[in-house]
Amino acid sequence: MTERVKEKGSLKRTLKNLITLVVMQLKEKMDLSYLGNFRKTLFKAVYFAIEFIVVTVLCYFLFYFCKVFKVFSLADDVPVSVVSLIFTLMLSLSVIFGTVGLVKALYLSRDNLVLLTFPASSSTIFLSKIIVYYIYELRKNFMFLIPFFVGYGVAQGFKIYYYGWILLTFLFVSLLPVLISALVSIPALFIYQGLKRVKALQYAVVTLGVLAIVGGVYYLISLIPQDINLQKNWGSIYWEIQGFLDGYTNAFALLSGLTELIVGKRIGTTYYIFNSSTLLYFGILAGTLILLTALCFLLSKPLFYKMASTPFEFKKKNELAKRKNVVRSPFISAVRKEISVGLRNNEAVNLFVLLVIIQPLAVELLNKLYSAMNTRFIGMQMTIAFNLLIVLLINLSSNITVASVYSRDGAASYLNKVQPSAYGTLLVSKIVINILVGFLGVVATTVIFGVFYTEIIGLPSVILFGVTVYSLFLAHLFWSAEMDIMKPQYEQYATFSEQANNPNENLSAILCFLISFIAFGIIMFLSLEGTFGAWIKICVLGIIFAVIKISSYFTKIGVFYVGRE
Amino acid sequence: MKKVVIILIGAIYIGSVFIVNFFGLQIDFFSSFTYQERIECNTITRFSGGMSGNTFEGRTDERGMKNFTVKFIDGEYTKDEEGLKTNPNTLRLDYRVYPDNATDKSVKIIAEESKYYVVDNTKATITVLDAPLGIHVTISSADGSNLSEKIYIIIY
Repeated sequence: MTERVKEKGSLKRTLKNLITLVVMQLKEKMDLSYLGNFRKTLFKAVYFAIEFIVVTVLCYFLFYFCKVFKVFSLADDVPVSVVSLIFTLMLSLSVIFGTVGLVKALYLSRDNLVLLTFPASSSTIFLSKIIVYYIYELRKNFMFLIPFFVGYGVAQGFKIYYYGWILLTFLFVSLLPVLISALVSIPALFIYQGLKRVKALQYAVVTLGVLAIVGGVYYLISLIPQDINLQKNWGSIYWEIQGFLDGYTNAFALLSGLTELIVGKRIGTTYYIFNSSTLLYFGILAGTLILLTALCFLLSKPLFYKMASTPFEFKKKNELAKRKNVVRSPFISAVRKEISVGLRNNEAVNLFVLLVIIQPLAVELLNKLYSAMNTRFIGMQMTIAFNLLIVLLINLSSNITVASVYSRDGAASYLNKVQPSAYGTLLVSKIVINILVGFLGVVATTVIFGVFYTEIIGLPSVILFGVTVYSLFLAHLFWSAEMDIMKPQYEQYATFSEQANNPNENLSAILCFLISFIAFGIIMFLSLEGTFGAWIKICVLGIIFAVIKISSYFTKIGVFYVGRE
Repeated sequence: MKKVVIILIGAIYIGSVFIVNFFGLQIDFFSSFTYQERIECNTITRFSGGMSGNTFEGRTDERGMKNFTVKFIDGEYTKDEEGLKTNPNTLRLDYRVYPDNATDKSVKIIAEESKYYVVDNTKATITVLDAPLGIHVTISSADGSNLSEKIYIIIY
């Protein structure tokens, strides 16, 4: 396939093609079916408005309390540096996640082969992908960053035109992480491909990463003071915060300037949205965007075309070593296959690092912080309950991807029905890695938890803590898998390697938080009566919940898979 | 893992430390009284309508007293509540009491009575009504430790 598609016709036709491609991709990735129905559209709009208002109100109260308690300033103010710091963190996260997403969407997506057959130039197709990502970024900003700035404006009493100005600036600001990610995706792709080819390098990078995390956590632990009492030591803490904010403003002057472009500058005693620096920063932003766009077209687009027109599935040389065929049971064979796939695409490795390494380290750091506080009885119960909450959140959040474990087979999902074994065998084999790694993670975390709390609550309670966490983990795991059986998203994964808005994953995420907070509430409430009794009760509840969800999972297999024959 | 999920878990992780620290600590009934050891005032800030403005650094003279030089913003200003609120010549004394864990950090702002300025002890501010002027201010400890910091503010 040579790159000799000549762009015929006028600019109008190119624009029309671009719009068609963007709308087509958006229709595939997002559920826009509600647009045809007035009631559904109204419901979506109201839901969106409620979400926006809730986040704005939360942000407003956050700023309000910071002003009342004079956390960041002795005056009745929240300095722009605080807003800028949070804005920078969010932009950084957007760039990181955007890079990962764009590597998949631009270079490794299955829809590229289909899109390239359309009567549009490669530039148009590339631009359509960037625009689709930009629309996602804009939508994400409407969920948090824009309400965050609106909340700040309300707390500071800004004029009405500030709110219109936010919307205008965010049209440009949202493009920044997308373009940066598109550029960073180039080295990211090469690193990804290099690591994929050389397994030893992959394991070396993972090992180094893990060692860096462990080292980082122990360094943070060494910084923990002997007595953490924010109220008593507020004087020195306040000035340290001021010093940190000053240091941040000096180090990240451009990003501070970008924030000033949005919220304005304080001159004297008043904030002015439009001031002498507005044009300058807007010019810098516009210039940066133009430069990044040009670089994307110069660097990312040729790579996109090369990757998109290369059928990578058949390019790999298969060096098959001859081995004696060993007959195993269907279940073991399926599990071995899933482990191989999990190791090949690093999902198993990532899961292992998260649950068996990062989680116990996070718990150790948290409990070191708690140990530095002179807590009373209720404080001790709070620390135990927060341990349960955070461990559950980390464990259950690892199950969110299980809500698309069967859908990700895409067009190959029919294979689950043609294998000469029971459906349950094959379907369970896909979640065995999660079950095993989850178990190891819970054991490791319980050991760390036990180091801090065995003397306080006793070894039996510590063991019950582990059993509770694991039973809730299993319950959520099977529930997430059940969602994917009941409402699979095969069509989405058949054309796209990733779905941006899987309803099953969203529901699984909500359940993760719901289950974790309910367990937190129960243990806080029950432990006021007695620790061991509380753990017995919550453990029993967890086991019953797990049994219900596991049996429900197998029941659904019987209904949905037999029903679909 | 979704970005939102990671952010929320991170926020809850950090929030739990603050919540335990605010609501779960031992209440100290019989702690010892820590007296103030030193008062320092290195800057003063123009402060009006609840918002901070320019900050002025002090210069230490031969006598060891900190001198501040501030430009007066011209206008007709009155001593009544409304007049003081809208006067852009309100100066906040950015003093700091050491040690940070002093039990009682309150201070008294002492200046000679004058029709040209108004002292507000609760906010540690001086509202200037006319210029040129030189104001001798003493920031004195109120916990019985008998400490003070003397500064001189020149309004031109």
